[in-house]
Parts: sequence; C-alpha cells; structure tokens
Amino acid sequence: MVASFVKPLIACREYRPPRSGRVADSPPAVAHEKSFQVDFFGQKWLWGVNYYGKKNDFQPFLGNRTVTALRNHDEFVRRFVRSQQSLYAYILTLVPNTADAQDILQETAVALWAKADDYDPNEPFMPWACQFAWQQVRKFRLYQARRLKHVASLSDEALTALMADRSRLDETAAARGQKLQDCVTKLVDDDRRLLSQRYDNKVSMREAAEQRGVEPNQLYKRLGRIRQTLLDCINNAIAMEERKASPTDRAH
Amino acid sequence: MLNDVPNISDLLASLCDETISAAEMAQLDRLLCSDASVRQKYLEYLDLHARLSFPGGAETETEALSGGIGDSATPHVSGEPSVVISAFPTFDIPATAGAFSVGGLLFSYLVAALVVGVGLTIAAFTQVSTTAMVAVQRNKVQEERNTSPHPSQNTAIIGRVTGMVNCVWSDGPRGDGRGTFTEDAIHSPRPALHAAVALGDHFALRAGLLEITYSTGAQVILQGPVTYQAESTNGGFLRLGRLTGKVEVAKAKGFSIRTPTATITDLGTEFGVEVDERGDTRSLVFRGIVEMKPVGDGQASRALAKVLRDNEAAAIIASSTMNKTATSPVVPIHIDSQRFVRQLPMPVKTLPMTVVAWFRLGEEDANAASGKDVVSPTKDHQGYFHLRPEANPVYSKNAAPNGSVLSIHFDGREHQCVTTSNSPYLMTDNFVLEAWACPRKIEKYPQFVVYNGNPNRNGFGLLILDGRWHYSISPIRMVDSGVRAVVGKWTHLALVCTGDRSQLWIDGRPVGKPFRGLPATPDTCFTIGTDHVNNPRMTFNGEIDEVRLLRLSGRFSPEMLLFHGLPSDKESPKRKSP
Repeated sequence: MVASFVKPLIACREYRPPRSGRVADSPPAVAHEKSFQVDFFGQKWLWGVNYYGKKNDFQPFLGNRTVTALRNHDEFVRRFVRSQQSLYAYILTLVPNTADAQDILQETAVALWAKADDYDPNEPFMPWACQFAWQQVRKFRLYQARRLKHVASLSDEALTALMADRSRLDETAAARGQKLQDCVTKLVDDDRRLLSQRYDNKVSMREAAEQRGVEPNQLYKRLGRIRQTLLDCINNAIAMEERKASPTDRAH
Repeated sequence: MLNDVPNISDLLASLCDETISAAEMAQLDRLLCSDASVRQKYLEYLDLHARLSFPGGAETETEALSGGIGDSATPHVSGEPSVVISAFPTFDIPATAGAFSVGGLLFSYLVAALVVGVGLTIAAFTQVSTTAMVAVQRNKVQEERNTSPHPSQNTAIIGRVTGMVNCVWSDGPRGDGRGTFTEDAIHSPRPALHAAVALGDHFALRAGLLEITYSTGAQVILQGPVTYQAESTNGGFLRLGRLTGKVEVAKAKGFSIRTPTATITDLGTEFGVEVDERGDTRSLVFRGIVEMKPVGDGQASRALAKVLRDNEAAAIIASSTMNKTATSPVVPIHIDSQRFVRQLPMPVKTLPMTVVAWFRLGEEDANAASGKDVVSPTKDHQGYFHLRPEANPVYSKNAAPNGSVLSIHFDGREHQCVTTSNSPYLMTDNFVLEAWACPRKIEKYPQFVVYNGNPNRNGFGLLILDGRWHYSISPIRMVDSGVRAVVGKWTHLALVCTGDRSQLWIDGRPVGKPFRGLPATPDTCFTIGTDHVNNPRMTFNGEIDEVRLLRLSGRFSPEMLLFHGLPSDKESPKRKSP
C-alpha cells in the first residue's frame, strides 16, 4: 500500500542521455555512464557514475553537479575567503575607488560562485579569480564610460600595463600583509589614531580636521606621509627578511 | 625616472583620498603608461591602501565557512564584512508547492533523507583509493607544483633570472630535488626574464645563455647545453655543461657549485666550471681563489682538495670516483678561457618591452604530449589568462624551429583556443603580436592564426588571405604583406604597432611599408586558430606555436622577437602531421 502511494511520487529508472554532438564546454567524453533518473515529487534528479574509460577514473554525480564538485565547494569557499583581500587589492588597483571596488568584489563573488564547479583545486585560486574580477571591472568601466563620464579614470592602456606588471607584486603579497601589521604598530600614537579614523571609522578628513581644529589639506598631506612611511617600512622589512634568509652569514 | 617625477606620491595620495582632479588623473595615466617604476610604485601604494581599507583589515581565514554541502551560512569575518559572501546564491534546489515547499519542515526531512540515501548509494559505488592511486595523485600534484609558472607560490625564492639570450629549452633530465637525477617525471621550468627562482628549480637548456642572480648576490651564467639545479640558497648542482660563477659580494662568499664528481667552493672570485657526459669536472679561475675537491665528506676527499688561484685550472676525472676504489685527485690542466661566457653579450634586460601574454602552446600545459587532445586550458606563461580549448585541438611535435618542443595543431574546422571571456588585452598602440605558424592547407577564405578582438569591428590579428600573409587592424583594413604562405613551412609573424603605424615582420624582417592607422580597442575574445566571432568559417589549418603579446615602452627592436633565424634546409625539422 505504501509502495502504491510512494510510486507516483518517487520513481527511479535507468537514464540514457540523448546522443548529441560534442558541446564545446563539456568535459572529456564519457566512455560509459551508469545513471538513474529519479522523479522526486515532480522534480527530476539525475544521479549515478560516469566512467571515463580507465579503471578507477570516474565521477559520481548528483543532479548537474559532480560529487567531486560538491566536495570542492568547501575548498572553494575557504580559498575565496583567504584570497578576498588580495582580490580586493587587485580590483582596487584597476578601479581606485573603495566603494566601487567593494561593489565589484561583490559582483565577482557572485560570478565566482556561479562557476564554482569549474574551479580546479589543484590550480592556484588567484589567477582564476582575477579573470572574473577583470570581467566585472570591464563591465563597471563600460558603465562608467556611458553614465559617469565626468569621473576621471585610468586609460585601458594603463590598466593593461598595470596588469602585466602585477605578478611581481603578487610574489610578496603574503609578506606585505604581515609586515603592514608590524609597521602600523611602529607609528606614533597620533598617526595611528588618524589612520584608524580614516580607514576603520571611515571618518572624512574634513570632519577629522574640524575635530582637530586644522585645515583638511594638512590632514590629507599628513595621511599621505603616513602611507609613504608605511610603504617604506614594509619594503625595508621585506628586504631585511630576504637578507636574513641568506645562509652565508654562517659561512663568515 | 621616478626621481624626475617628484609629485608621484602626491598623485597617489590624492587618488587614494579620492581628491584627484581630471588633470592629475591624466598626468598619472601618462606616467603609468610610460614608466615601469611608476607602475611599481602605484601597485605597491594601492596594495597598501587596499589592505588598510579592506573591511576587517587583515587577511582572514574563517573556519565557519567550511560547512557541509550546500551550507549557505553567512560567514563571520572579523570586523564588519561589507563584502558579504552571503551574496553567494544558495544551493539551487527547485521549489515545489504546498507542504513540500522549500524551507518547509517536511521538505527538509525529505531532502535530508534523500541526501543520506544518495550518499549511501554513492559510497557503495565508490572504491576507496588504493595505495597506487594515492601515489599517482601525489605525483600529479608534485608535477603540477614543479611546472607551476610561479614557483614562488610553492617554495622559497632564492634568486631571479636576470638575463636570457636565445634560450632553447630541453625536456632534459629530471630530478628528485636532491641533486640526484631519477626517472621521476619532473619537468624543468621554462622561466621568463625576471622570473623568480625557487629552491630546487631545474634548468635544462639545449642552447643559449641564462643568467641567475641569487639573493645573496652570487651570479651564474649557464651556457647551453647545460643542466643545472638551484639546490641551495647559495649554490647549485651542475650535472652537465658549462657555467661561469661570479661572487663579488662579501655575503655570497662560500658560493659552491656541486658536480657529479667535485665540489667547487668560491672564496670571492670569478670562475668557470665544466662537466662532460662522463661526469669529469674542469674548473678555471679567472680571478680570485676557489677551492676544488672531489665529492665526499671523507678525510681523503678533504686531503685532495686543491686551492686554485688566478688563471689556474684543474680537473677531476670521473672514472676513479665512480669505482670507489680511490678518490680522484685534482689534476692541474690547461683550459681555454674563451670557452666560458663571462658576460651576457647583449643587454636583454634593458629591452623596452613587457611580455603581456605568452602562450607556449604545449610546453607548459599539464599532460601535454604529441598526438594528445588539448583538453585543459593552454597556459599563459605569465600565469593569468589561460586559453580554453574548443573542439579539442591536438598537440603536435612539429614545433616552431626556435627550440620549442610542442605546438598545437588546428584542424581548420572548429579547433580554437580562446579566452574564457572578453580579451583582457586592450592595447591599441605600442604593442607587438607575434606567432609561429605552419599552414597545412590554404583555403580561399581568411584563415586567422590569432586574433585579439572582433575582426568585424575592432582589434588586431594575423591571418592568411588569398594565399598570402596578412594582418588585420580592424575596423581599418586587412593589410597584405605580399608574401605567400607556404604549406608545411614554419613562418614567424610579428605585427608591430608603434607610434600610430603598423607593420608586419616575417621571419625577422619587415615586409612592405608601414601602414598608418591603429586598431580600435578589442571588445571580444583573444583567440588562437580562428577569430572567435566568425568561427568556424575562418579557421586556420595547421600548427601554431609561441604566440606572444608584447607591450612596448620604447623603440621596437627585432631582438624582442622569438625569432633567432631559421634552421638550414639540412637541419629543417621533419614535417609531420600529429
């Protein structure tokens, strides 16, 4: 009786995919597929195993996602979270406005998620993600060119040149993050306070200037000097570390 | 140049504070286009600004995100995550009506039951990996690491490639990372100029010169054919070939070159080392002092060590070392100093160009072998925008005669390699697009070797039309070189656009007069083997290799091209279809 009730709701039969031409984006040809289509309360779910012609070379799948892809989901999210600051930095170099860069990062996250199944965990994450970020930057620039003509922006040529040169910076990206923390602690208290007002509390320099009773221009200049100090500190620290890594000291 | 621009810091500060004017932005733009040091400063400055302004401040790794399948919980990132990953769509489960609607309790139970059921079924199908499978997987990962274009991501950087002259790479011997060469499949890397050198990197050159500068300041110039491994932060293992070592910095003192039979330790000098196929090691000191001793840490080895001074040379013969009956003595010999290259012959480092993209088409792709389909993206040597193959073109061993070992064969029907989205290469002036092409069949319609953009509206590319090599700068026109494309013959093509003029170079020579006019900004894909818009009507039939896109920051020079002459007819490579 139960079976007669459940049968119309849950039905399982072997599924034979229609023979069709090779689609450009499809994975390598499946030598043998054993799959079942499950009618689950009116929804068709496909599950089974694809064999790729070799022993032990198969991909279980559920619906239109392979089980491996589902496993990769965790890895994908983990890598995204770890890389989002670098991704944000990549975007900000191309669109040097923090609000726009954050919007583009949001859009990039959505685009990345839509293609999460295509991500190969054996490949480095950043180059893959940067392609999506670049597309979102392009979309934004097109929008900017049409709607925000009054906003000055960098030329395409400058952006291409920056992207080509970026790989050198990427090599030291992790070290830069660590050194920044150390360098901020070395700032004098008032500089650190100003930096915190600007970046953590998002206080405008005009407001900060009013609070301190100075001209906004003075604070902008001071902020510029603080950033330059931090940059020099980071570069020096990285250079020092490279020197320390040299084992020749032992030889002396 | 940076010193000539005293206000670059002010410009960058204004940019970050969003107080930059249109005139200042234009000034910054000009500087970025023309000066690499300004670009470097810009990138560092904006990177700092990004780290400071990023919500949460520091790089964060959040464990809460590693939930189960379909976990859509909003991650907690320290600070205020205005960049919210909850923007991710949730796992796509189709909605049903009534009691089984998405989010309903009964529906949740049913889904849970189904997931458990499916999980159990899949578990029944799934075979636990055997030891052999795990080993294969580990080898694959290891190989991936070793062939990574960015070795720095995996291991410590110990130096940089600071000079390359006519480098022809070979597959070479393979190493196990300890200086002893085994059958394990680890390909030597093919670095670009300024590429980082990681600990354990192998360099196998068939010809050419490669200069490596260690972080300590020591320098080696490898002379092809040579096989060398950067095995320590201040030394290397020379298995075969010749090198010149230069130690002019006090902290690099103690730089040592190991060979199969000897260890040469530099005590502040310039010296040459040569190892032949038997393992015999010869060393010549140009100036300074070097200690040469047979391999081994034993007392006998140390006793046989010999100190060489200016213009002294010595050899250690392999045979006696190998049979272990006695440690080979260091024998004084004479070596012609002309055998060693002490300085790179031309200032490759100062060529005013940047390699924007370099598609080796085979050499850097995982599991590439002649006759195999191209199923995974073909790598960009610069590491960013890899090209997706469509309709599975095939790797071919009929490669460009510039030392390449693999190329990709396109069938003239649907084969192509294309960017996953619109072209990231937006240049319209001061660039070079070069490629090697070997046509198999010449058709009546245009056959695109490579195209950046949409040939109907914008971009630029190289093609065959009416049996002759052409280039296209859209929307202006297709320009005829007048040079016939020969079936089965490798031809080097380079489109040079600089200073409002474009010109085609064929086999290292300019062809015809420069044409006045530049392309419009590319707005479609970058494609090899066809143009993506008109595919499959305008496809190339034959092999394509070594496609590069260069950005010029100064005057164009033919030295920039990957063309070092064609082999003579006698040496011409076998023409063979894949």
